[in-house]
Amino acid sequence: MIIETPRQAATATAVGLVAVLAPMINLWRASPRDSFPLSHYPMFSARRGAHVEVSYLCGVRADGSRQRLDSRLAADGGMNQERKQIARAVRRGRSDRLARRVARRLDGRSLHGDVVAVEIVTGTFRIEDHFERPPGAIEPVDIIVAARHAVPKRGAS
Amino acid sequence: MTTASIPTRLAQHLARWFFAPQSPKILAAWRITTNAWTLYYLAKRWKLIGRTASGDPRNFRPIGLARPLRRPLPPKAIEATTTLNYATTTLAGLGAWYRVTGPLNSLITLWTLTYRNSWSMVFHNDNTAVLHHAVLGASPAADAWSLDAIRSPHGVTGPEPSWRHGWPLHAANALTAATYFVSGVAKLRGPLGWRWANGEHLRSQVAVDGIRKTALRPHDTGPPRPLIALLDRHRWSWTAFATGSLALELLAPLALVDRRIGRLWSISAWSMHIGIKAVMNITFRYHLSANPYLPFLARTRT
Repeated sequence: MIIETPRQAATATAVGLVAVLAPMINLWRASPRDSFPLSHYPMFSARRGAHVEVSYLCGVRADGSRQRLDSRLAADGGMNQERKQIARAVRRGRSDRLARRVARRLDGRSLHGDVVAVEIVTGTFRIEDHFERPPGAIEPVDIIVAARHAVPKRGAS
Repeated sequence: MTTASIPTRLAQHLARWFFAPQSPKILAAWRITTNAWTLYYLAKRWKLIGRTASGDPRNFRPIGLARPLRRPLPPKAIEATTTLNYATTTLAGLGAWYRVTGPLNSLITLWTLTYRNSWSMVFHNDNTAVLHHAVLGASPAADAWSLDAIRSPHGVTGPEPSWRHGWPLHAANALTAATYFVSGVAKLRGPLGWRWANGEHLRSQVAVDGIRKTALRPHDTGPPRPLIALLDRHRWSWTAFATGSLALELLAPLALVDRRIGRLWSISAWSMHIGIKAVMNITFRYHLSANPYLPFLARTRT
C-alpha cells in the first residue's frame, strides 16, 4: 500500500520507530532471543575473558599431526553461521555424525589427500596470541576432541 | 508564552521538518540505488541461500516472519521465492507497476532475508536494508525516473516537489538512527556497562574474531594485519575507537535534529564501518555501500 495522507505517513513512521526501539526490552531480560529485522543488537556486548573457545574441524595426518579444515566442509551459511552450527553439534552430542559427514566429503571430493581422519575439536585459545603471533601460528592452549572419524579408503583407525 | 504552547510549537516544528517538500527525483534516486544494491547483494548469494535452505533441519531456528514454521520449507520453494525476489527488486528498481511491485518487493525481501537468517545466526547488517525497503515500498518512490513516470502526465521528471516525497527520507533516517541507538544501549546494558568505552572489550572482540577466522578459515587468514599491530602499539587508540563508536550510536538521534549534524553523523557512521572492516575484517555490506546514509545528504526544501 502506498501512503497517501500526512496522517498515514506520521502513523506509519511512529509505528516503525516503536517497532525498532521495542526490542530494547530484551536488554532487561535474563535470556532474550534475538529476531529479525527487529533486534536488540547483542553483538559486541558479551563479556570476554583471557581465553576463547572455538569448535572447529581438524584433519589428522598418518603421522598424527593435525591441520585445520575449512568449516564450509561441515556447514553452510557463512562463517559465523557455520561456527554456531558446529558448536551446537558438539553441545548436543552430534559431533560423531558431523565428523563422519566431513570425512565422507573429503573422500568424495578427493580433498586433503594426506588427511586420514577428521576430528571435531574444541580449542581454547589465548586472546593475547592474536596480537603476539602471525595468524597461521596461533595454536590452542588446550584441545578437546569431541569426535573422530576415519576418511574412507585412507587407512586410518 | 504559556506552558501548553511548548508541546504545540514542538509538534509544529516536527511537522514542518517531517512534511517539508522534496523533489520526487531525490526519492527516485534512492529507490534506484537501494534496489540496485539489493539485487547485487541477493544475486551474489544465490548459491549461499540455496545451500543454507538445504542444510541440516536441526539447525533451523525460525525467527521473525518465519517463526510460525515448524520445519524448513523445501529448498525448491526458497529457490522460487528468491527468484521472485530478483524479479520484484528489478521491477521496483525500474519503477514498473510500482504501486504493486514496491510493497510486494519490500515484503519478499523481508521474507528472503528472514529465512536466510533463520539458520542459527542472525546477520544484523541486513536489518537496515529491510527497514529501508519497507519505507520505499510504502512511498511514491517511482513518481520520477521510472517506467511508471514515463507513462504518467508529469513525465519522467515527475510532479512538483511535495511532502509525499520528503517524509520517506526522514522516516528512513529516523529508522537508521534508531537502529544505532538500540545498538549503543545494548552495549551499556551488557556486563561491562560504561566500561565498554575503555576499549579493552573491543580489543578482545577483535582478537576473538581473528582467532575464529584462524580456526574456521585456516586457508584464508592472510598475512598479519599491520593496522591491528599499529593500534596495539598505541593502546589508547582502542579507547578512542570504542568511545567514538559508542558516542556515535548513542547520539544517533541528534542526526535528525539538524541537516548539518545529520551529514556529519552519516559520514562518521560510514567511516566507523570502514574502520570495522579494516580492523576486524567484519563486512557490514549495506552500510559500507553508503546507501543507508544517502537520505541524510538530501537537501530539504522549506
